[in-house]
Amino acid sequence: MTILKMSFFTKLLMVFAIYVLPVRNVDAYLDPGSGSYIIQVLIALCIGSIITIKIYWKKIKDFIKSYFKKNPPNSAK
Amino acid sequence: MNGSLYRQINAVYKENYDHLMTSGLYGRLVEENLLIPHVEGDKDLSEQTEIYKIIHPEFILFISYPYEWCFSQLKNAALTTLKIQKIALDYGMTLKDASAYNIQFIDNKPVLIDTLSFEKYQEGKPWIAYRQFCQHFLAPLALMSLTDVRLSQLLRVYIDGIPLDLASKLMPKNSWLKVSLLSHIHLHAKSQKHFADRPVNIKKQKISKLSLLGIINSLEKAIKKLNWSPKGTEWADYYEDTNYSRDALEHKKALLNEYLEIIKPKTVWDLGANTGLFSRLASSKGIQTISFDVDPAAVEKNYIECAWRKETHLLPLIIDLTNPSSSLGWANEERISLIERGPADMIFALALIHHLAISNNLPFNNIASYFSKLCKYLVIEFVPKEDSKVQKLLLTREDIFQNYTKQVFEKAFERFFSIESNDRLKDSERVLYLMRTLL
Repeated sequence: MTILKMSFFTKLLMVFAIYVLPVRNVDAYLDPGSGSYIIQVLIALCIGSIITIKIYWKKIKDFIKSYFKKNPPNSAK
Repeated sequence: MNGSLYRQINAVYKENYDHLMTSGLYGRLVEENLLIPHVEGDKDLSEQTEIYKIIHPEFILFISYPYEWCFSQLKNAALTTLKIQKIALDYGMTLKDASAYNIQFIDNKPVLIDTLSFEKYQEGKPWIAYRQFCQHFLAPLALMSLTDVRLSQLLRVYIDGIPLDLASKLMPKNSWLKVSLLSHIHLHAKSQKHFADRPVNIKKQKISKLSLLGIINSLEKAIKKLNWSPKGTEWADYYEDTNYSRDALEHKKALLNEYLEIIKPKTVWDLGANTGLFSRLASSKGIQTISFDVDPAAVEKNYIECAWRKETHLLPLIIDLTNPSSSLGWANEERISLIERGPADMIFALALIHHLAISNNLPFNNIASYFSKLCKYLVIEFVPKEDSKVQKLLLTREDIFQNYTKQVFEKAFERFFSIESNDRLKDSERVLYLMRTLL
């Protein structure tokens, strides 16, 4: 459980760094709106990744299973 | 115009309005009692080309504000806003605003009253109302639930919702461990501060519809998890602790019913209503009734009872009579004071006068004067000094209330009212009066 939380934080930090650095033209002068905009995008990214993982979790599980079926760890050869 | 409300739809909004009406979203929301219905006006009211249409929304009997709502009322208003946003997305639209002032209680259910708050949804764009939702709904609810229920009064000071950095500071430290509150409040606040005076590229970032729904669901889960239990305040268990005998209570109810039958008021305001015991005598007769009380726990209990009884004619609200909501906003005109939302046909001021006159040192004249501006008929209960409740108040005060007598009371009120009837309650020294405002 803690590991999951940690990766959420590290993910958040990494993404924050990616978006903070390439800063461009539009001026957001003393406007709380832009901060809200950015955080929404970040949260959407995190939620999007979690949803994507959930959707493809079965596919990922099946892939791993089939991989181990092909190469069973204790096969007598 | 003519005492009715009209809204002007400008030409720039034409596309959005048409989509709202023709996509089926309007029909769906009105059917589910989530949006206020309206009627379209005749176009010949204007020759200007900037105006597309005039609409005439349904009349709302009483306007209430978020700082007057109890915890569950604000919570339901929040969940209703999110529900509407989700439905809107199904029809290709999104809410531009998520202001708590866009919700009103009609038949005691939260309803969106800003018909023009919808715009066409463009995939990729974030929810523009996100910040407003967090400030108007999530932050106050989190503060009420986790810190103190009275913090909803901050909404009186901050009319665009509680600033997130302030909310973040006031919330307990363990709220940082809750993922939803961490993201939508704490980190949101930090992000606002960080980007406040920095250049930011708005156009680059995109949010898919799936992620947007994810955010809405995340907000919904966060709100649903916030709870508050109405107990522990001084008024929460009032009715278990009164000094009425059964006979006195029944007599009081009978008199109130009688007055309601004679006068047949269309609206009743019950001041100091507590959990609405007597308010229900009016609302059960189909009279639009509002229960006002200063205690958030009492109002919450009242509202919860309204919910399980499925009541439509009773609206409980939080008001401090000694400091009622004043006019707020730009030029003090955006939100109106209590007195401007009246007068009511009839007011109940039951078991109240001693709190105003003794606890709050208000002279009878001032009380009578204010009440006369609030109603056409007044039902007021005089609680004499010998009453055990008044004695309780005098325990911690010097008795400077020589003028607190029935005679002085009647004389003061007769300056503003004509006393139509008075009855002494059985088994009690308390007297119930029916008075009519002198014009």
